[in-house]
Amino acid sequence: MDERPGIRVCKDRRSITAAATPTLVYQVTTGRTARLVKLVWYNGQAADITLEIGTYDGATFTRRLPRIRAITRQHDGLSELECPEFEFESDIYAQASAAADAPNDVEVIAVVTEIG
Amino acid sequence: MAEFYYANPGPIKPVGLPGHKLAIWVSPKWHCFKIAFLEPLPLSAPLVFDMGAIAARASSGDIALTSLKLTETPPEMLQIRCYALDDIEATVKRGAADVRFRTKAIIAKITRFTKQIDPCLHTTEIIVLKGDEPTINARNPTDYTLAQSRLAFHGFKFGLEDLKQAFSTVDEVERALAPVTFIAAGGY
Repeated sequence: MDERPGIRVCKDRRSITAAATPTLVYQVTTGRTARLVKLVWYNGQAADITLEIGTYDGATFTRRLPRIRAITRQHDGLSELECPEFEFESDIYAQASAAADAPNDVEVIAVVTEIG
Repeated sequence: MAEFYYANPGPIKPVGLPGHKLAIWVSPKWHCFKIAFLEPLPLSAPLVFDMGAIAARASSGDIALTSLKLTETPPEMLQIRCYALDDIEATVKRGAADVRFRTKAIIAKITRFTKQIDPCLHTTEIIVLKGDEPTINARNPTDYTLAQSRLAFHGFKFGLEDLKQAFSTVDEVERALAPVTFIAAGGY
């Protein structure tokens, strides 16, 4: 059990509108880390896509969770029991194998525990 | 025999009861009072202070908690603890200038993490005398605007009788007034 003090935070949903383009999902507060505890997504594309969650340094996207198969025009998520709770030391990004402007975008929302 | 009190761990309890003598450190002396009356101040909406909306990584600026105004005659004192309801870093000052919770090099803040590692909040306790109502500067450490930035207080208010004596050292106070409880308002 992690006994470090942490606060639960959920910000706005983010919309991925371009394929293979890292999109900021959650900006970690300076001086803290963030453990991903819940994730919900919706695939607005007409075909299944692959959704990746990771970090991005401006040049390289690094996947931090196993790839997610997002079914066409469906929502799904990782509940608190299922989420690997990877601890991010930098901002959380997502990228999709295919995406376009709404309503064909891929929507993602993250719930994290910020530790600091 | 002197009793030293300052922010004992555990639920907040009054520094003394009516009739007890207090020596309160307000730099540069110990000022002496007798407790005449005390009033509990339970945590409730009137004791929740909102420093307002704060943009990402910005600060509220100094905001005096004027609702905690105390009377000078008879002199009144507050013994209060607080915690953050919103994701802020609060700097606490006694009056406008005396920053609390500081070392030579740093100033500790009250955040939402504070209550998690100090559930009884004893490390947040401050003593406030007339004219020294708390002033708060709340900073938003996040990357998004906070619509409100609240601190919630609870504790006790005391009515005091001014013994009109002030001393530089603990020994002097003890010789003149023992038994007496020593507490610090700040400004050391």
